[in-house]
Amino acid sequence: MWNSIKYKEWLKLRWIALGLLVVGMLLEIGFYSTVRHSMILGNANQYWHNIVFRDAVFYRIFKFFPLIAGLITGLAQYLPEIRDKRIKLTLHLPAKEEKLILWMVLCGTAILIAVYVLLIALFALIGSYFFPIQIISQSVCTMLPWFLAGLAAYNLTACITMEPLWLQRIIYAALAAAMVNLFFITNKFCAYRTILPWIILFTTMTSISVLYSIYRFRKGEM
Amino acid sequence: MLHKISRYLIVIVTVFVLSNVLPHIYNTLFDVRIDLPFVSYSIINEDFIISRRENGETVYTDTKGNFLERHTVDELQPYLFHYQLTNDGRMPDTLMGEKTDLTAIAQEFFYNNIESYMYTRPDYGLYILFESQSGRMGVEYPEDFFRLGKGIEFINCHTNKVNKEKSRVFTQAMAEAGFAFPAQKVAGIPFDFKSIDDGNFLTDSNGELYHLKMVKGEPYFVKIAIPQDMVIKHIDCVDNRNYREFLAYIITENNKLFILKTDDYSLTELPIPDYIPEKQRFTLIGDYKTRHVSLTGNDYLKAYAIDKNYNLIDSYSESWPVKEDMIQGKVAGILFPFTLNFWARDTQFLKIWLSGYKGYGWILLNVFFVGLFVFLCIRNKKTFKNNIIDLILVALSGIFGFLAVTIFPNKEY
Repeated sequence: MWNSIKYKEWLKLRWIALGLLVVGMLLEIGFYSTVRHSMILGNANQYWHNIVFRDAVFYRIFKFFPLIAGLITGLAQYLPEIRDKRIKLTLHLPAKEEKLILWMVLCGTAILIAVYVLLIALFALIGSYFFPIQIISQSVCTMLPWFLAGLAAYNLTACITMEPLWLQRIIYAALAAAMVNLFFITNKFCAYRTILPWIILFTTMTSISVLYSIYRFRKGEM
Repeated sequence: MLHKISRYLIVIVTVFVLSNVLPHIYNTLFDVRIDLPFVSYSIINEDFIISRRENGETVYTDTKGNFLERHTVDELQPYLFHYQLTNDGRMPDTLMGEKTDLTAIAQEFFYNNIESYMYTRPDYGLYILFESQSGRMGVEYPEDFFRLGKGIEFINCHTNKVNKEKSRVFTQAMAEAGFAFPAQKVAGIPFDFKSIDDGNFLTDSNGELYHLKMVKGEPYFVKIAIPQDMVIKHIDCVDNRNYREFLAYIITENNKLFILKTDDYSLTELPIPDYIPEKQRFTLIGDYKTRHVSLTGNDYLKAYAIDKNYNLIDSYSESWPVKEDMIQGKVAGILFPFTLNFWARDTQFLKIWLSGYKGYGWILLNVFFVGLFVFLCIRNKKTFKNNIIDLILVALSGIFGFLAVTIFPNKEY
């Protein structure tokens, strides 16, 4: 049965995941093409200087992509479940409902993390052609909160989508926006390094929030 | 069981999010502007002159509270406002018994500033070494950056490859001078708007201080003698244009502030006994006769007048009410038991810290929310046992906890 659930989630997310991966890769190829272009037209040392001493972030266009990816993945996975209340079928399977839902969350999170890891790997791979390890590692450090924002957005999208009441959905959405905003409060490179454990903890704490919505749904909250 | 845990987790996250967002919204609506005074020393009447904004206007006073006119301030500080006096034709021919030398006065005017967050900030670990004697006016950006590890490595920006020969020559020069890799601190001015290049200052793994320059492509690397018990915390290089008395400020672990002289690398301590670099903004304005130093903290300013031999002439301090002491701050202190902050004065890294739980006002409001919560529980016929954790949360976090447990209600189906 667990394999069937995994397969069901895979069927829902495979094209979305592939699409997000392709778009993410195109974005990366796009901004690295701009880097190459700028270095040819201008001076490479000026370009490095802007990054190292003037806080220029050459991958800024990528900033909200992980967030959007998290949102889309969450919607793609959970919207079909609330259409005609299909989730009821899942909840009637002969297994603990919490375990079933956690499997769904795990599948979605794993697929999203796989997309993120591939995108970070590609970023580092192409980047190492243009820049030394110091710039690449600090850039990845700068991007980590953006990816965590994507995971938090995925978790909160699941919670909001499965919530049975519209009023609660709106309040949760406002709260989710306020929370996700905490991952974008500065443009300074690597400024989140000192609080990364805290924001990882925050993100993890939201990971099972969907269970609360499902519980309310099952209890017939209308 | 898990759904209960999921609820408590999301409630706790909500408390923290609200403790950042609600005070932020409140501050956006009701923030107050605090104008900091500017304090400088008048060598003419041997007193400090304080300028501050009052009711939308700048007023000038001395330390006794006497109000001064703007043009009087210029005349009392002729070296500080020499441009204005010269422009107005008011510059005296002789000052302090000396014939006025406008060129020298202009040359010896400089401004330095060290922010409190300079000590802890993100750093790529990449640095620039300019050519110090290119034979051209000004400086030009080199084609490479350097990094420090077991040696010094120069990386060409165009190829992203290490220049092995240059790296070898410089590493060897540094090792021969006794430099113990890896480096602890690297300081320089990495911008081309400086008038002249003085290279970089480095400390090695033993805490010894060195001066690194590139002169006609070759390494210039010398050890600078520092007192044996001196532990350097921070180096801040300066570019004071034509006034080349010193190259850098050196701050030690015990918060003593030195200048590193250009001629002989000697160190001179500034007579500022209570400098706390992580909490205060340091500014030094140098003129022909005086060094005007200000240390600005969150709610106070300390000013020092120092002569050109770095002897203390006079000092002055004042403080001002912070937001917490004003009506806006007091209301915030009642509304919000605590605030989740991300910014700190001493770092450019984000820092999560809670401020608050000050005074007693917040207790009243927390008690009110606890009462309201209990009332709602009774009205909705909820059991006390199932809501004890919510109650504790509301008691501890007041409005944040109450909103969180209301948004995510503890339904007893």
